[in-house]
Amino acid sequence: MAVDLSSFQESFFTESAEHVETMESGLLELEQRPQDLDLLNRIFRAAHSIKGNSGMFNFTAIGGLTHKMENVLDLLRNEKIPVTPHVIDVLLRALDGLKGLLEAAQGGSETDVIAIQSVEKELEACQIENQESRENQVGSASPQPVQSQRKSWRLITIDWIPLPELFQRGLDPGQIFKELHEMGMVKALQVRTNRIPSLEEMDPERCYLSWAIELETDVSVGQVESVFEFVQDGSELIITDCGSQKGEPYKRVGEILLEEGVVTPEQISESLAKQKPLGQILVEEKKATPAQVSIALQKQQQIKKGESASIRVDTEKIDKLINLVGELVITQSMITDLGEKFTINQLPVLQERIVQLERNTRELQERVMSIRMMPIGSAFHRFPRLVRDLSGKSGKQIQLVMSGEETELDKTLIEAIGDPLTHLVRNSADHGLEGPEERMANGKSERGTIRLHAYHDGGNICIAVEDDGRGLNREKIVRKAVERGIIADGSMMTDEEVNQLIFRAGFSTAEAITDVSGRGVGMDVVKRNIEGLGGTVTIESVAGQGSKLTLKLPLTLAIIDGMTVRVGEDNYIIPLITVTESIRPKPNDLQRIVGKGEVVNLRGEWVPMVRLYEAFHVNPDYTDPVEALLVIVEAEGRRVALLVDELTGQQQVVIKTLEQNYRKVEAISGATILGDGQVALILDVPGLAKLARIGHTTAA
Amino acid sequence: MGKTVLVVDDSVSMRQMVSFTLSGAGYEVVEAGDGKEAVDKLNGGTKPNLVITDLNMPNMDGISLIKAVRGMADHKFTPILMLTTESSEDKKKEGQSAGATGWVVKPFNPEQMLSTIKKVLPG
Repeated sequence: MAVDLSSFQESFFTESAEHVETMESGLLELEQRPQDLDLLNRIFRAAHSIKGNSGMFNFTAIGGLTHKMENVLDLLRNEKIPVTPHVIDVLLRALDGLKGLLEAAQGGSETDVIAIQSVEKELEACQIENQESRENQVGSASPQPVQSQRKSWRLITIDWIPLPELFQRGLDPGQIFKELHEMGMVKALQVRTNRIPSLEEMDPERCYLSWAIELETDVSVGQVESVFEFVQDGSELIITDCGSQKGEPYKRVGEILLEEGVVTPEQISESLAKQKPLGQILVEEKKATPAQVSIALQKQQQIKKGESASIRVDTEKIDKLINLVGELVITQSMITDLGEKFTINQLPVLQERIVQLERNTRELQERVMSIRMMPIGSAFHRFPRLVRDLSGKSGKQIQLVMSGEETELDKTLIEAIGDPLTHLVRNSADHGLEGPEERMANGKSERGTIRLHAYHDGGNICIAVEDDGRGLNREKIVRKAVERGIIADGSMMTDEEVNQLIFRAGFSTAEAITDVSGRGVGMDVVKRNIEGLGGTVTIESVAGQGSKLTLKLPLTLAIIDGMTVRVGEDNYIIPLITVTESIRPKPNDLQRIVGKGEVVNLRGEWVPMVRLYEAFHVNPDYTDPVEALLVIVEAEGRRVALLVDELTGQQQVVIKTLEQNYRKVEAISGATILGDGQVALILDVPGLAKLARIGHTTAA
Repeated sequence: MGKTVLVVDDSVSMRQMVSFTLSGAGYEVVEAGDGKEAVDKLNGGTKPNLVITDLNMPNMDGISLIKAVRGMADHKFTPILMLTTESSEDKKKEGQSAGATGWVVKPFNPEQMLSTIKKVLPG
């Protein structure tokens, strides 16, 4: 009976998608760093994996195409052919073909057979073309560093928790790492500090650190074990052979020449000494500034850091989770036990256990959340290619700078922001940046820059898309808005209000609808999507200098820390992260400024005050702030004092949206159910701040 | 500057053999005939980078020496290699719990000794 492979097909497609991504980003990087053999090997391995796996599922077309790509990649990494933009181009197109084939195999679209055939021909041409040039190349081929050759293809992982008395036995972990280093290449060395106790309990002569090491080597596990000979007793040591790495060991040109006796080792080192890093050459030839090179190098580092193929959860995290669940179960059974024969004088015990339960639950929740957090880099992956393509289509020179790829946020959010971000980057490339001539005429560098930057800001994550293009054109926007009937002619508007117009449905200022964007379906959708995620979109723009769009998103969607407050009979939740303090004002701290609403003096600063009972039309216990309480909240850099009757507590609340169940309500971001079953509304602090601001500006 | 190694063994021939090997590899060698002599040298200001000691010795044996060295503020982190015979698995354990860093199994050849030293001696 035939084994049913179809259940594995899905993983084949997921895997292939990852490999395709690796190849795509790899090829783009390769264009920048053609010398990077590690990178080439990575690309090669990805192609090789797809080829190998497709055979298992009888996807012969996929196998055939990847085989041809692999051939070219093999020539590249053996330096039989040089990395040229043309080769990269062909490979990228082949990759597009591959994507198409993969989609078709998944039961998607029809395959464009002709396109595949033509790209396969081009791949073959790459090989032939370079076989010719190979003869000429041998003499002049630049030798590569011999020492960086990777002679070994076995990956060994080592998990080492040393005995605490390590130092007391005169052992030095550094020695061990040195020995490992001599055996091959230490790909990763992770120090774990989780066993470090509190300062009181710490004995400085004991070793609390432990290590996880990835070693790429040609020696056997036994030899690696022998390194740990003296520390084995009392240590926890797990050495795993992850098997041989795919691909053949390769030789550098220098080595081949050496073996063939063409050159001497001295000649090679001499020539190697002449070889300079690309960055240095560029600086010397004045093609780049030192600052640009160092930025590029930093970026390179970050990309290396941000790589992640799937969610990898530290076993330690899982152990802790299991541990916590264990504690939770114990606490729960303790409470059950108490409940069965409860007398009132056991109340303190009960309270204590409830506190314990709360602590367990919270910790569990935090840990589970942390598993879902992923670096945002995975959402950025597609942009280098996108920008390269846009650049090619529009004839603009565009440079993409990304930073903050390691910033973590919830996986669902990462998936959700992909499309909005794509819109913004496309917009910047298409509308924001000018063509080279226009840029030169305005005294700018030919090449425009788009910056993608992610960072944490309090309980939020911000993603900025910034370009140094022409900025928003006020006149053009106003004219278009009037044409489209979005605003009346002659409306008085601030710059900010004008900028906001681009988020209105059916608005587009592109003179010509291009292939790329300009159908007017962009910005309003972006705004709606981001707001749907509980985020905001802000825009800053300076005419002639560029614009910056910032997406601000919550770290997670489901749960927030809230402060519960009471106004009359209603409960409200204020997101704790926005609360800075609460005060009871003195009578002379309060002022009603004519036309500007009410303000309260907060250590010399006048903060606008919002009476929640007025905003929500309820009957409060107090209307005089002197008798009630003011909660000072801060959002988007703006402080507001909220008048409430009483603070009733602090708790985590699960957000239920109002929009899905009712409709959007101004200054309310959602609702939740309190422990006693009552419903409480969650205040939208930025919305309230806006209310206060309107109080400010309308009469100003 | 060469590293100093304190070699402790009651057998003169063994001491000479070890000393010869070590000097040839560029180490300074200080010799002691038993544990007691070694302790005296250490108290007298000798500051070796490594101690190599036999286990069976008169006056003060290797295990006691290791314990004594670990009790000295100046030497408690100094690597100590002990010389053992193949059969004495228990001795290895005993030595380790006393604070020995590692061991060299007798009979050994000079290369084995030097490579073991390289394992434990920093720098």
